[in-house]
Amino acid sequence: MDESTISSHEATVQIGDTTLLRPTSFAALAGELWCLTGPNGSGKTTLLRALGGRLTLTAGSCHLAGRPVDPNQPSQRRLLAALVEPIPVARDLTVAEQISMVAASWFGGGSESRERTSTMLEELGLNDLRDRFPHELSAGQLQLFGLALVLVRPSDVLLLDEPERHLDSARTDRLAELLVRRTQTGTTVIAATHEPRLVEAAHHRLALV
Amino acid sequence: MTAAGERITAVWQIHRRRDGRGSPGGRAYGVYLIALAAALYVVPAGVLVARELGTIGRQTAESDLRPVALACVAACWLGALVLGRFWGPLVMPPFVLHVLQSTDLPPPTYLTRVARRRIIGASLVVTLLAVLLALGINRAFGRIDVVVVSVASALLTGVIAGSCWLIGQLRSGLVVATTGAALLAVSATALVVDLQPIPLATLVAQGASPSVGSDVLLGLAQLAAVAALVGWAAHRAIMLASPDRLARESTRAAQALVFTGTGTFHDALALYRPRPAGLRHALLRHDGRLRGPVAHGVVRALRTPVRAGFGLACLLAGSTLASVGTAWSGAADGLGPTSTWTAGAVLVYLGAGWISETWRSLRDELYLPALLGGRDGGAAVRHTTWPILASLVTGLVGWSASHVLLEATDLARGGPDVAASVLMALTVVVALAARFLREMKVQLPVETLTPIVTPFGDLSGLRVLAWQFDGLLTVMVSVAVLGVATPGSGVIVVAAIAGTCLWWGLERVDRAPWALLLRLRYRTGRTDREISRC
Repeated sequence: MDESTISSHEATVQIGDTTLLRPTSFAALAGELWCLTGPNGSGKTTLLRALGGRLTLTAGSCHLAGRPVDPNQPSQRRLLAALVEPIPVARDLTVAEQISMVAASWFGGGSESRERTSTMLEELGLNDLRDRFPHELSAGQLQLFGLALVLVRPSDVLLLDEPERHLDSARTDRLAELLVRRTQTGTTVIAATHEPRLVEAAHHRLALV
Repeated sequence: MTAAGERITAVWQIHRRRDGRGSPGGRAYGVYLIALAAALYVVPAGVLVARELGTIGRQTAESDLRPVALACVAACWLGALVLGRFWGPLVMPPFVLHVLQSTDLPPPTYLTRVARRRIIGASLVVTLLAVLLALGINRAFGRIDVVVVSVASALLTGVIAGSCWLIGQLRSGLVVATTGAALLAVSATALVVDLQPIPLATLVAQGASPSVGSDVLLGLAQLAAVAALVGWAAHRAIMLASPDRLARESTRAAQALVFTGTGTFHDALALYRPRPAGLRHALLRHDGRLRGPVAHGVVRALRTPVRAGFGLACLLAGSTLASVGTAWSGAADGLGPTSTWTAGAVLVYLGAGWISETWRSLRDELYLPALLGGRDGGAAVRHTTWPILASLVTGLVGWSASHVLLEATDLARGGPDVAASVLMALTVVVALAARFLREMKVQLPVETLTPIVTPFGDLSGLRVLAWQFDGLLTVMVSVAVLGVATPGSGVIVVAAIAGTCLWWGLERVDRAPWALLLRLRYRTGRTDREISRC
């Protein structure tokens, strides 16, 4: 029986004569951190989109918790969180309000929601920025904000596309620690990255060519 | 996990709280602006309409009012379906939609309450307007039976309109077209058989002496059945909502709101232009040369067939109504002829959008840095042949159709005379000139934002509003001026308006119009120095 949380079997994406993703297979278990590496255009983002159900495969399959990936299934949306495509942030809500809105969408307006928001702001070093609007953030701060929006919600699988983008070395280290801590609670993390520190922290590496 | 309802409520509460940021002074200023606009525009229009409605009820025969009332109801329903295709009730802030779509909640749990709230709001607006119109014509505000049936009928009409709005947003084009055809059939039923499925129209048609008989009550029951059916279809549409489509529409609407808020409403409307498709090689001949300007215009129109169809329908209807309006105004006075004429002019202006795509190209050709390099001139011919030809053909068809309509309705015996025909042609010319002015719009001029200090406060907002709708205003003012002018002086007035529109339109591309005219005449590749030497 397949015990993997998320997996792909000969997943392939082609548009006309162009191959976006060569046949790729892997299976990640609960609590594992996987890094997808490879040069630009090797198919890292394409694989993440396919795993998130945002892209139809030309051949092969992707599975989440033993079932074909289908983001239209509420149970699968409960399992999967992703920062692969840009999030349409609200320009008229502050950082803290937007993070708390995501938390409230899972835990309601009670104390648990507030605690999770505070914890996330603390863990990603966003406390000083909590009352800022998105246009008042730098590129690196926006990246941390995007990560907070994804990490504040519960998930069994996290898909991240270059989570280290625009971050300095100190924040990249903090991010790596945070992701490892998430895996210790049973979350599977799949991250496409060019950052050696994240690759070092990973349990497995999938090199795409 | 917390209950679904509580989670959704919490999300909307956080979103609503952001509205509390505005200062009391800022909110009061918003209320003041709305009150000012209402006092300047809405109240005078309302008084005028109320006065005319009573006249219509007293003077018009039942046989004339029934088709008009039924057409209004059908237009309301079909309009709601079309509106839904562009801006439906489930358009919401993109971030809120993203947050809710990312949860494990089934979409109907968070979409239903939004849809219900907005449909109820829209239904109430339609109900209020319909009741005021009906009772304004009947003058039966004191008749309890008439008021109750009017309100019930208007409410059901509003519910159907609200449901159509949702169906228009969520269902496929085929389903929307089928729903529209079915509702059109319901409206037409009242004309061809002895059934009264729209009692509001029946009461309106009875003019100043309405009576609630068994036929009206039976019609109310029939309308309730139609409302239940359409309401069920709308409810079912929520189950079939496509998350990706909702996200796309919400993002587009958010962009459009930003454009509107920053004074470039034309850019907001541009977001809703359909994407061209098909006929990829139709603009080139077999030997690789470009086809002529007429073929160019036809192919570009056919690449967006739905828009072209609506545009053609608007041009035909507009030309017909303008012709009817000019002929009718020569035979009678009152709101009817003027409204028909104005509606016709506005429809021609709106319908000219699909034939004036080439003027957008002209604007870009003149405004943006040269891309294609020098080539022989003829830009004026390239950019005017198709719009003029298309409007000429549709104008002639509309003018011919107006003969039939005028004969059938007996509004003006013998069809439009020479004077009316000249006025109709001038109306089309003005509408095209106004369209040119609108299509040449680029950025909001900074000077538009400078304060206009008056005893009523800063009225620069009204000037921005006028700039945003300058084409429409030009058409309406021109029709008003033409209404009091003779055909001879009308030609001079229209020549002046059209010339002004042309001049202002060219000025909008930030260059001296004379230099531009020379540029249109000579090689487009000439340098500015060569042009200034000319």
